[in-house]
Amino acid sequence: MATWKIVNWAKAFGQVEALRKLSFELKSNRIYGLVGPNGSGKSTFVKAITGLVKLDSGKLFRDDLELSITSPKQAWALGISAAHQDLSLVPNLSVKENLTLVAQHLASLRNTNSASLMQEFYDTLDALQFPAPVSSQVGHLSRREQQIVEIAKAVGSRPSLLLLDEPTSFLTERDIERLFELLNQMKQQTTIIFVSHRLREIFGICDEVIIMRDGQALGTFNLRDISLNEVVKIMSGGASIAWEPARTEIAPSRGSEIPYFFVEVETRKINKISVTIQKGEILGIAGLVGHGQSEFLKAIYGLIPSRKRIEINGKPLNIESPLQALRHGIVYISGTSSETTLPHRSIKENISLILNGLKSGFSLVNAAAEKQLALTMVNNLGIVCRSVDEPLRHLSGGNQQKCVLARALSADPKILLLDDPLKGIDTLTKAQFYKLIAEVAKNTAVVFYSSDVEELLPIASRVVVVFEGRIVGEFRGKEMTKENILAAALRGGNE
Amino acid sequence: MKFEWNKLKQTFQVKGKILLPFGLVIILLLIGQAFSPGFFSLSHLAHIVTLAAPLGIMAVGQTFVILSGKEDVDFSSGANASLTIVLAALLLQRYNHGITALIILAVGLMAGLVNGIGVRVIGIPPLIMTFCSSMLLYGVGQAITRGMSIGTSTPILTFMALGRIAGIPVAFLIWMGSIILSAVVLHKTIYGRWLYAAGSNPTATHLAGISNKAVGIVAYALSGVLSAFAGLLYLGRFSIPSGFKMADIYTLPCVMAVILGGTNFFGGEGGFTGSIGSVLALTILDSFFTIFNISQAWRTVMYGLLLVVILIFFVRREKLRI
Amino acid sequence: MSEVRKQVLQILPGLLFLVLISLISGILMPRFVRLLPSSLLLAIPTAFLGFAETLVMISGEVDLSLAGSLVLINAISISAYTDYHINEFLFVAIPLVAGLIIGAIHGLLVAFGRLNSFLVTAGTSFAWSGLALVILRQPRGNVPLWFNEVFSIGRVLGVPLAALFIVIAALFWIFFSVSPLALKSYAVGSSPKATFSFGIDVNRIKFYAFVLNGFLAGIAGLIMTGIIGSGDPRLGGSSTVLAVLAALIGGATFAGGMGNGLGAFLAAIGLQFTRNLIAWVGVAHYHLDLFYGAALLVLIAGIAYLRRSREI
Repeated sequence: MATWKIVNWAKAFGQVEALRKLSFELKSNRIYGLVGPNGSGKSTFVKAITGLVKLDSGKLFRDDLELSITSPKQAWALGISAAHQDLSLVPNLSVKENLTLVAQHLASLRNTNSASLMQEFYDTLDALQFPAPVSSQVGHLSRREQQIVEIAKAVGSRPSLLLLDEPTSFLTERDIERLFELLNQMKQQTTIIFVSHRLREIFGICDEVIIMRDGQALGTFNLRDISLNEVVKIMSGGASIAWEPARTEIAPSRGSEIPYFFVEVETRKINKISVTIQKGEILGIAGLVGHGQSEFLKAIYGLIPSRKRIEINGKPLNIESPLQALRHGIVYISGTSSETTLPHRSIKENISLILNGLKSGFSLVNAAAEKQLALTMVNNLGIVCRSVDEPLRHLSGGNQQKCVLARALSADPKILLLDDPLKGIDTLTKAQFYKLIAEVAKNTAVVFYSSDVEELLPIASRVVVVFEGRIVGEFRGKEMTKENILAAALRGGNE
Repeated sequence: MKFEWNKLKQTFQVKGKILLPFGLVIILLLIGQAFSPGFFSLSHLAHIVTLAAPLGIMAVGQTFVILSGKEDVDFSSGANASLTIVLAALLLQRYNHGITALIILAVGLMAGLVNGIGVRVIGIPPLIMTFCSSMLLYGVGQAITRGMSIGTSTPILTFMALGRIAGIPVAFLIWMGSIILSAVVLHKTIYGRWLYAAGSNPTATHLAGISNKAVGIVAYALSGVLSAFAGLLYLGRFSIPSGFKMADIYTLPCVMAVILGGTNFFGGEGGFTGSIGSVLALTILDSFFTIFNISQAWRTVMYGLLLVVILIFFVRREKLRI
Repeated sequence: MSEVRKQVLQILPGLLFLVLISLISGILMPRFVRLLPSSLLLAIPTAFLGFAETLVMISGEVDLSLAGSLVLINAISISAYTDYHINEFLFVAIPLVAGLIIGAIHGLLVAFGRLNSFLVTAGTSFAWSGLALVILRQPRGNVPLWFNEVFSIGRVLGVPLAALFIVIAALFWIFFSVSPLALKSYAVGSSPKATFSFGIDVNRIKFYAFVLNGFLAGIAGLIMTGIIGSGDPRLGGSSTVLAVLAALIGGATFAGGMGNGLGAFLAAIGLQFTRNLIAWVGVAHYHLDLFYGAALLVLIAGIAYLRRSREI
């Protein structure tokens, strides 16, 4: 019913340009898919159009009328609603209370009563077959149930522009079927944008697809005129990666050899995951987000309580805290920069953090050694900076993450645990990372979890797929393809 | 061009943060000179420095605490010093300086440890915890003195607080000495690295195997020791302990001085240099209050308002919509 | 109805605490029951402060200026009547208006100025108590005759004052907790970002929380002024810590999103009774503050520790 035009949207977070002259058009009665690699700006776009993020520049038109969205309040008033990727619900309140908040607000905006709006929400929950009572506290629901509520909140508000950001990450097949039914019904009155990594689903429900990369829209394509492979190609920048790092093909160990690294973990979320790795191997971990992969790594590192057995070269280890893990040579880094970076501290301090953690608090700082280490790392990893005394936040996102990697490497790890380390990093830096990790793996064993299977393929020796807290598949050699892995991830390896 | 501007602003902000308080000192001295000739003179400056020294030492301890984390602050500094004043006066009647000093510093250390454990182990918000422990410290002081004023300063303490060596106030030397020692801890020890890191990002330090709890507890302990030490200087200056809350009025300026001195209230950034200037500025401001005969009541009001003004410029929550 | 059950569960800790202390006091202090009406009345101002603190803590902030606000409200009221001879029938309005203004100032600074509420209210606490001293200079002044009489008699139309105020507090809480503002406040305190994404003006909700806080502080000031019948700039003391502790017992947390005003109200009365008990047990005046400070600290520590283990 309305046409929307996004013109030259730009947004930078510090040094990182999330959106760069993003422009595209949305026509009514259509479901648009929005796809793009990690860090292409999809979520930033969703946050901007729902008023959560302020644009640096850009214009928005609805039916050729210029609008500016200055707050979520206004976005709702304009009929824009979204189911966000990081679910925006209040965990301490019940489902009913969460929806009441939205209903009351909408009621005053639209001059109706909130009871009828609540009924719409309840109807949507029924359509999606929400299994729990609405008096349940959101924080106590499973991620799947929470996601259904998040979707109902967006869909049930009968918006004129609906955005769904990775709405299916925790849903079952049937949930997804029901959701698609709903969306097809809504198509007549609502413009829908469906943001997802899962290209199969995009092709299943959308009419057109907008492809984003590095903060820009590369084009809008009718899904009848383009194939999945072509979309992948455009997303990944046309030419496939120009380099071919030596993928370490380790022969599967014979039973009599003592494995370099053996670990078996059980937590609340993890049924039982056990892996055995040889030195020089890069073990990739794949699967849908939130099925225990990150938990697994954190458990090994002693960050979360778990029942586990860890052995290096046959020797059992007791690891209850990160410090103990580090003392045994197990190093962990994640891709969430808010967890790992010290933005105001200097590059050299950031790099030395783990080494400093291993020292005694009373010992003196060796300033020369600290600087030399940083310079060596900057050189070896290709970190772009003016001096190692600069604050870390002056660096680009990719370079900051390189410093985090440098931090891990400086601790001379026996086992390197990588928890989605390349999230949001630009494609060029990613390529550099692949080389670096492959190089590092020569003297250690690497466990590499990524939410994006594409990141695992270039360097993993083999990939295990995790589904609901257990390993449901393992692929190596020619079998290690994106299709196989995704299939196992989606179906739990059972069908 | 846009990026260049940002980098310029950043450099200016960093250097500017430290220069600001010194600039303020100059401005205040000039204002004082206008009203009272001789204000901007070496001898008067020496006098100001003598007055400022104990507050400066407390500010050093406060800096450790504020650096250590997002909400960390020590509102028990004044209470600590107040207890020292009455306790030292009492002890000096019976023991020599060495033992008295040891006991005082031990008490300060314990008070700091209690703060640290309350905040970092039990999880009580720092402002509430340190406020409660200040009540406890006053309570101990009150119990000890039972409303009477026992004991007095000694010539040695008075010399430390008010005396001069070759024209330079001894208190100033002691102040600078504390800063040098503390700066060694902050910049030359691994603990200092831990402190800055924990204040910047406690999650990152936890991942790196550093104990945020230990870092925080030590910071509060250091503040306790330094505040207690400052109390000795106060005793030297006031000579007779009149009441158990003598250093109470210095708690708020102590916190303000650290923030004004360029240390980020949310932790991870800052140091002692700026606090030298801000402590001087606040001391000069206080002397203005005396010159213009401003009552204790109005002073309290002004300090309260000053804190609000400082907060407006230095400590603001991030916006919801970025 | 589960809503009522929820409310009862929340009020329970404060109520039980009050009952427990009352029982102990009743056993140890022979004149406890006889003195109950007046000791209750004396505890009511703090009770309203506990209620006020809860409202602010629900929305995720803190007010550490309550002691100072109380003193200032008292000073303004007394001065307005004694120095400026305000119409004696308007007298009741003054503390309420003063409280509203103080609350609004805090609201502006914290909600719209984005200042840290801990620090700001610590600062305004000094400002307010200093201002009270400036206005009064020393304990002095008086209140309108009719006002004084009401408090001396201790009854209005036959109803004991304390009971009347308790009913007022209960009504206030009931009206608040069923209003849309309450739901929004709890949401704002729990997850400001999520609530913001719902289109709710988070800053405005926090502002209202402080304004209501100020109003309740005004009521506390009104009652306090009535009780002492004059102005005293040395009032306040540990009121702030008591209010915070009462709010904690009433279920509030420093993280925000929880709390029950009525529970805090009752808990505060219990805390005042505790103080009376400690004083009666014969702790010397000089040790009183020490004991009381230690007791408060232990209680706060205990609550903080219990909460933490529950969260994990």
